[in-house]
Amino acid sequence: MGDYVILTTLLGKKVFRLAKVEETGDVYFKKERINLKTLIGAQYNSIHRLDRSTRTLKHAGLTQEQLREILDVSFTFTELNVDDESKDNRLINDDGLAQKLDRDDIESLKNQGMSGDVIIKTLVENSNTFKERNVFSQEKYLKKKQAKYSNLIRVLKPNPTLLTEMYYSQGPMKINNLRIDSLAQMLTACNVRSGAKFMVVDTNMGLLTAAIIDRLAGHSSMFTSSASRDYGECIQIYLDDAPVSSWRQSVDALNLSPAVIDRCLSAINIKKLYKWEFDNDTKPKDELDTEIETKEDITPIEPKEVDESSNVDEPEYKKQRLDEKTKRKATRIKEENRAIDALKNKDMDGLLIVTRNHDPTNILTFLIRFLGIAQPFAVFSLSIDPLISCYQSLKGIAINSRITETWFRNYQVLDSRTRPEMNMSGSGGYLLTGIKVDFQ
Amino acid sequence: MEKGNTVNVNSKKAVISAGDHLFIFISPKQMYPLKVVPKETFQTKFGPIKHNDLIGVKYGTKLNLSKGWVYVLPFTPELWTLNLPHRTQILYSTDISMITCQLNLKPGSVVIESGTGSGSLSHAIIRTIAPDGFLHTFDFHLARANEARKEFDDHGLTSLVRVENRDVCQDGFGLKAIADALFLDLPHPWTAIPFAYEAMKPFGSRICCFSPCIEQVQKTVQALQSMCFMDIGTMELVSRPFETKQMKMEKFCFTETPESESNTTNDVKAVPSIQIAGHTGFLTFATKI
Ligand SMILES: C[S@@+](CC[C@H](N)C(=O)[O-])C[C@H]1O[C@@H](n2cnc3c(N)ncnc32)[C@H](O)[C@@H]1O
Repeated sequence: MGDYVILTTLLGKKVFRLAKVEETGDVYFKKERINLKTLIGAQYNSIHRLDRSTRTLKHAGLTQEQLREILDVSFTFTELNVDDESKDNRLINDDGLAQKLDRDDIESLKNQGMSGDVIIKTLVENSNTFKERNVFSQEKYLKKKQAKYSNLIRVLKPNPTLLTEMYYSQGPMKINNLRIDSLAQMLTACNVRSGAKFMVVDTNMGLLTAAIIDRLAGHSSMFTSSASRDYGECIQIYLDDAPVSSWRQSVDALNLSPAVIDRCLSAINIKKLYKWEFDNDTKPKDELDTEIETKEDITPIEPKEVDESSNVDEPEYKKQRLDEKTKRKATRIKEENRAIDALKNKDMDGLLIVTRNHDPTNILTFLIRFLGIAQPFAVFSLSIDPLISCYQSLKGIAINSRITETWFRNYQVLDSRTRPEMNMSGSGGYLLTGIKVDFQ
Repeated sequence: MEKGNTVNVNSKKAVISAGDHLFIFISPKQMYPLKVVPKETFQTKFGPIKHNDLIGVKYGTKLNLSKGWVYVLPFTPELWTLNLPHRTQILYSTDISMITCQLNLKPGSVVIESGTGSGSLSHAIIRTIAPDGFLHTFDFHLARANEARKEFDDHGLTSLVRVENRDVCQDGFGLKAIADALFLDLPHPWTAIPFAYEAMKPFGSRICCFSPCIEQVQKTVQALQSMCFMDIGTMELVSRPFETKQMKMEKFCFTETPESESNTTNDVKAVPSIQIAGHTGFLTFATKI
């Protein structure tokens, strides 16, 4: 209840839709209006049938046989032509002076029967189904099939990878072309792990933030036993005066309990952090903290409400809005203090930057001061040029700095028709990674 | 200071102590793994390092040696991958990153892996699933399994991983419906698919098979299809590094008259490396529902 799910099609082109499971209120998926309340209590990754009369989803309860039929699986595993190459190297030592097996040894090995491997005759050759149709009728067949089963819908559990795939499929620029492989490289380059503290500049629906939070909290939010463990921290550093409305969309989609989020996620405006760093160098720290709490004038402005124009102006409603505003402000201040608390020791464990409209160079050179010595950073950019200027700015600050990109392509794997897919993404952006060190 | 667990606790460790695993960094292409053992000495081309001199030093410090300087870096799975003792072919960080993402690894995940090989991927998995996940890793080569076990132990990871000497293609994993994710880097991954299916949790657990050759992929995909795995997808990744170079370029002069000095530019440019690793393997992912 109140959880997010990702709806997707079972057959045909993949379409994704992130939706919240609620008692009332419908969602649109492939032009169909659906109420999701029947999903309450349902298993993630189950298949549901859309009942078009009630506009609700019912668990499809497919048997393995039905699933086979729908997925066009015309063979079982034992019908596969799994060839039996029985030579392997398990008995050969790696120590260089490997003992040479004499011919008898090898014979006896063979006889002892690596025969355990499944040896069978081929599949598709003698199946009279799919393969024998010509290309044209295959297509027609597939279309018919897809139409027939278009009411079958999969209900997926949102995770950062799936969310990336979903947003990417809606248009790569929606997430600044932060392709999944680039996001993946950033997370490993920064050794993102539970218990550590990360700074993130993220302008992509909170995708990078969500990916970090996922690796801090993990499955643990489901178990009370780990309630006491230290997840680590993710500090979202935003560049706009106030965070854009979508800044945590992906984080919300992870369905973590607010208590968990509360313990590992905070945020601060970068200008405020800058001010804190440079205005107060000489003052003692605790005096500072209180000052920040009370200084109203530098509190970020609230994000603009979209529905500002709407008609309602009952005092009740207004009061509620005001309450909400104060509450939000209080949360923001709490988060800011937490962020400062974590940042002030200047021993953060990683720094990850994805900007959209800003040159990352001075953002990097400012934030890197909060990074601990010997800790990694990663900067993503749509084009390579800003990374060159970042690279130059790091002289005397970092080692092992590298600019890379990943070349990434998907394959169609079909019997005798295996090849790269016709379309591929020309670029997934560029990355600068490195390690901060102590020169002098 | 913190005890054990090299992979995860470094974040809290600013200072080197005896027993630490770390890296001596000379250049991106020259790093050495080192375990700090009091009284021992480590030789580098810039002169010897006395282990005792490392103790108490901050990570990231520039260490002056008799003939030059080096940096001391804390243990990370990525640096380990670049510098570990090779007992087999290993997986590198580009593929490992994608595997970690696509298998949805996170703290608490239960993962099955075979073969263990040199433990390159294992270290990265353990880092991500710690502190409450678990890795079951299998290799049918006895010496490799033993070596890996010793290494995990040495790295303080025993509570997060179990190494078993077993042929998973013939005997399976001996585990039922417990894995959130399963990974195969074997010559014949397809023969292990039914066992994999059995060992994986229902409703959304993920599998990955890594194979260098397309024929292997073909068989693996058929085996996955035959077991009704969903979201079957095969992909390939290549990391393209760039070299940053100061590049002098002269502007061509059409007339004889020499012009002002602004005729040459001297900018830093990023030039794609000319010789790179072109192929590691194909990654095939799928979901058990
Ligand atoms: C290429 S290595 C794996 C490397 C590993 N992924 C890494 O990153 O270090 C393949 C390993 O699989 C093991 N192996 C091959 N067939 C096996 C089988 N049927 N059961 C268990 N292990 C097997 C081999 O002994 C070898 O150590």
